[in-house]
Amino acid sequence: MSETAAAFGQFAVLVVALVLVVPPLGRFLAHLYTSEKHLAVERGTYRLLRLDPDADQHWRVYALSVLGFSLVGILFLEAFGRLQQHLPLDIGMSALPADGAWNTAVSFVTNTNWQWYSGEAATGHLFQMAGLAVQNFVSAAVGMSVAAAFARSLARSRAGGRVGNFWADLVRTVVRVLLPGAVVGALLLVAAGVVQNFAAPRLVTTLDGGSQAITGGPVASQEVIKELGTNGGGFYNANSAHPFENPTALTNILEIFLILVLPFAMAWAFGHIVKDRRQGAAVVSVMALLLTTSIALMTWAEMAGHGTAPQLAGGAMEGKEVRFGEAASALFGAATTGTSTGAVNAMHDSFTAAGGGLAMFNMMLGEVAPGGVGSGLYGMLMLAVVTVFLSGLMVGRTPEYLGKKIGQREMVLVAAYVLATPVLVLVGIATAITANAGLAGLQESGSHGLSEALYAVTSAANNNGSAFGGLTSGTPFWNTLLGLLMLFGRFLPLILVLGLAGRFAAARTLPAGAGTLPTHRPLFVVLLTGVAIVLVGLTFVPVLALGPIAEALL
Amino acid sequence: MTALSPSPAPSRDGDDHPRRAGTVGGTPVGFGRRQLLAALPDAFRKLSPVALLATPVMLVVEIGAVATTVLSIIDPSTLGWMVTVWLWLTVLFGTLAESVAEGRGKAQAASLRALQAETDARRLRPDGTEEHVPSTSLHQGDLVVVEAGERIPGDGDVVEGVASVDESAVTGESAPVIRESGGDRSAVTGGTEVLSDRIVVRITAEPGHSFVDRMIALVEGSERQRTPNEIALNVLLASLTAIFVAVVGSLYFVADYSDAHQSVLVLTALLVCLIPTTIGALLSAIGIAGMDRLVRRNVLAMSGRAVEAAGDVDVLLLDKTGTITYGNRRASEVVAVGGTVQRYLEEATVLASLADETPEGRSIVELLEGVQPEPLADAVLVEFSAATRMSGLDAAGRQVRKGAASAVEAWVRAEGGTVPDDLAPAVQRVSELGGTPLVVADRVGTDAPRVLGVVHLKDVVKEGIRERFEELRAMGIRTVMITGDNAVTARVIAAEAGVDDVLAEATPEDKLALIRSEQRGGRMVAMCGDGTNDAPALAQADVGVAMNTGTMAAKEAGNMVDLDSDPTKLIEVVEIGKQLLITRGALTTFSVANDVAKYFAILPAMFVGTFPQLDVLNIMRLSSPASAITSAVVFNALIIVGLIPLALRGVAYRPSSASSLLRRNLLIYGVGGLIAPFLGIKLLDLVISLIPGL
Amino acid sequence: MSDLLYVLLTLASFAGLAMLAGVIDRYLTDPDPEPDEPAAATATATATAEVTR
Repeated sequence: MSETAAAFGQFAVLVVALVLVVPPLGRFLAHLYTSEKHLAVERGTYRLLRLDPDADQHWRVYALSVLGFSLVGILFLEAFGRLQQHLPLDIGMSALPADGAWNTAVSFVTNTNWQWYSGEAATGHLFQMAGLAVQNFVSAAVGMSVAAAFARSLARSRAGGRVGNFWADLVRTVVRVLLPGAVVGALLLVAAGVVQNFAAPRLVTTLDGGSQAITGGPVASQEVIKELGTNGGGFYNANSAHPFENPTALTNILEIFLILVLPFAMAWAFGHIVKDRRQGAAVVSVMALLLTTSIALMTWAEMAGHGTAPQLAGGAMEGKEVRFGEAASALFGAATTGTSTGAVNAMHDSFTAAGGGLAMFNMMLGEVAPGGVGSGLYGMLMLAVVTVFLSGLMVGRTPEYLGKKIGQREMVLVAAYVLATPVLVLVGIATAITANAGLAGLQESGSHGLSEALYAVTSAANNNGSAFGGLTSGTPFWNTLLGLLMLFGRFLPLILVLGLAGRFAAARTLPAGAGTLPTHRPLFVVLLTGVAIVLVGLTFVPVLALGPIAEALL
Repeated sequence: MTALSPSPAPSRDGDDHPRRAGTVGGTPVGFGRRQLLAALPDAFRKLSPVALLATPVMLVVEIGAVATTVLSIIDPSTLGWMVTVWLWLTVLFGTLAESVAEGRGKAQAASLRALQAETDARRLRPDGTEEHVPSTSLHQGDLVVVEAGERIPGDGDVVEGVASVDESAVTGESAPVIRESGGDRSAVTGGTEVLSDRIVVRITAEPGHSFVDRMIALVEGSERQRTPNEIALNVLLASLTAIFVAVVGSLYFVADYSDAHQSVLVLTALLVCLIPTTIGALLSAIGIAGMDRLVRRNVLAMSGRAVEAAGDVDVLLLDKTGTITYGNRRASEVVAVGGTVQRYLEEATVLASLADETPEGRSIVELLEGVQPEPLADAVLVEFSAATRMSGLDAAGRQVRKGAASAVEAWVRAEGGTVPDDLAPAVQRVSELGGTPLVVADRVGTDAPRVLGVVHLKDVVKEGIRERFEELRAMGIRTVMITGDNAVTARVIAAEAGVDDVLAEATPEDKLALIRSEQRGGRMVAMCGDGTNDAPALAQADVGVAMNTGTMAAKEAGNMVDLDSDPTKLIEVVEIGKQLLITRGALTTFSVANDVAKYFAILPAMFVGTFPQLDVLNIMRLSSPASAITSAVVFNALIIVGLIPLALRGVAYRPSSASSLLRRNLLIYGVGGLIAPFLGIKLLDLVISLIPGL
Repeated sequence: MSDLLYVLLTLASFAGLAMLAGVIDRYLTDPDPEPDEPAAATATATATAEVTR
């Protein structure tokens, strides 16, 4: 089988699997976020935590709940990291440094999962399972809850800014979606060969006679939620390139599927929640269009292997696993950067310059293709509002989306949203390459060094978490800078989204007529795709020109 | 060059009126050199940073221009001065666009001001005697006397008398109009002239708040408040500007890191090219021009918000009479009853109508054109009177009458005649068809009078109105016909005209209730009206167009006044509203699409020194970095001037569905906006590269 | 020592975010800053007066 055929083959398998699973899962999610019934275990949780799951929260209460919940998560995780050596299952690991513990706490609570450390060399089992893994579940659930609140707000009319109940959304997402999904996924992964044990590091003698300690552990159970919740924090430093995390081509495709299934299903659920499945299908189409384009381009970039080193070596295999090859690495790369996962099965630093640039562009899109769980959906909907504003004017009406007028106040929120992440990235990169402490972390100089720094700040501000490699980020400077980018990159947009949700929920839903711009037609899909690309392109082309583009054109 | 609907229905009378004789009449739709020159001083005044606060995009350009000026003074270079000059021109072109748009209103305002010259008013004292006071000291409730040849001193309602009034100074319509007390034609406007008779007017406006005062404020734009959608668009533009400030700001550091240091001058040039200057410069001109387009159609919008709302209208409430049908009924057939010979009936009908100068009477003569009855000797015209409700002829030996069925029947019976049995069914049939029956009878010598037949007077739907309703439907607008007729009649006309819905036997309360229920459903409603009864509905409607002939109450309640008093205008108002919004969207899209080409011009120019491989991106093959940067800046400035006419005129608009409108505008302004600057910058580069020192 | 610094940084950030939510809430619930045509408002009053008269 030729490499090209294999590339198409794995893509086809992925598409079929997604087409089969996304619609029913989306319908299930829509029901979950609109039903009023609680499961017994959920009711127990609410009683235990003294929460009222039936209060229809005002958006501000919803937002404060999210903030409070996340704040507690960060402080808890930070303390956990500092004190892990005193706790069981520490497998001999010492405390994380102060800046590192904070960075890790922020990273996992914001669903970024940027890792400045090597998982196997810095974190004990308990910290991984009771600390990081817990956040892998709940940070994903937070994103999905906010997206659900936003979708619900569009379906409501004159609801006084009430968007639903955060605690109910959160608990249901964990109990009914992520936990069962993780169990099923973990079993599949274990069956396919991913490691799952509690053993202490095992000393082995290597081929050349040296000795090496190999850390086993609860890998599969961590692995599944890492993908399913678009988290990306690996058990091992090598992440999904590590043979214990991702041993075969089968686990590779399974992991890619797990990465993509929930973001797409959320978009599909959106259609059900607003009671117009075509709207969900349109959003799914835009996401699929962007993702497919980036998979195609990245696969082409890697397989064509431009650049001096790949041409000398006869293929762009540096930093890639031989068991996956170029196409499967590119597919994983596109999926992990198109979502906010950030898991990697190859070193993006070693991608061809064009491939690495594409990975960055994917993240710069604001993680909307299909994006993180939940955050991808609300990011795309914000872009849809911008698109509606421009195209709505062009059909001669003041713009509206799904019957909600886009006036001054709506626009202020959307404009701030569109502004927030790019400004964080740009301020971040300017700081990183100006400060000596920032420059110190870069492995290379020139264009590639710029790419390393740019990748890191982009990854952090967009809550992706994947690393380019080559950057030594475990310094107080980088830990603090990236921590702040992650924190504000997550919560600034999230508050703006909830504010807009409140505004929409308070507004009257206007009936659609023949003069209303249809937002489910192919024309709108193309337009929204174009707006996403142009907006990001215009913002980042100058920096990209000096980094990956300059490098790619060499 | 009007961009509006190309299907002028013949019924749109008033469409070809000279606009506001003496004021607007001579203004061309585009703009010429004279207008530009006249607007220049004002454009310079608007360069003040305080004035630019409202448009953040242009404020950034001005700050950039100041920066490059300082830099060029410190370190003079050809590139520096080129960029500096063109940045200042960019700001100036923006303010110029606004000034030109406003300038068109200023001329009108000047001639309207002439109407306000202080005149002598004859105020009535409570005891009925007159006193002479200056017109400026009149207050609400004062009674003034105006006689032929005098100017009406202020806005008000006629409370006594009838007069013909020359309102041409306000409406541009030269034919005098009748104003009389009571009813819906009682409103008079200050500054207009009474041509005949004497009227007593109760003043309804305080000095400085008259209709003409408001008109002046509106056409001058001094009262212009930015509309909600304009503000929202400004927010989007401001955020794009902020993003580009961040882009260019961070680029300074990134370039330094890459050993490709960029001067503040070049970065400023890049910034100005990237921020949406085209739409930023033209945004307020578009708004002013939209109001102005209404003024040209003799519609005064009391707020820009109403113009925007017009674009959003979902439901149009249209009065039947005058909008959907010609105001007058026309004869369509003559039916004989009681065994009368058809020819005899027709001759009698013509005789009864020959002297009838009402439109109905004339329509009968027109219908029976071929019928030439022998003239009767010593014929005396019997005029229609409210008491008899009949008209006709008295001649030697013969009387002919026509009139309402009941009236003619009563006359026949009173004079000893009998009414044939088939009259009632014939009358009934006409009514059911939505028409008005007229019964014709005559009396020869001293015989008892005989009923001859029935004339079917029919409402005639205006030509072309059906097509306009179809266009409206394509635009997603529902039309509802409002009529005082009974349901049967109303439905017949509605079906013929092709309206979507009908409100029959409508009282003003019904209208108001209908508007409220549509609005509860989230729909925007437009209507027009003239009577005091209409005022609540006009005020409730999202777009209420009051007829200038109507009462002051109606004019105050509506948010627009149509000086031509043409109810069909409502459709044009909606189109103008849509055109305004489309123009904004189209130019924004164009502006943003332009950026792509500018990157291809400037980025290679900036960095090709350090990264020679980036020359591949110089796909326009611009001659030198300096020339490339200058060309992009010059293009950016010139495109503003190039688009001023489009901003003032509005983009072409033809009613069609949302999807096809979007497709068309995207193609022209989106794709066009991508391509145009590539061509423009390349051409400019060919010229600019000839400048020595670049 | 630096632990305290990071905790304070976190608390300050979240306080800022919570305040932002408050600011947005106030911005959204303020009465319409968009000037609602005073002309129309008075006209409605006049018109109502005319009818009730």
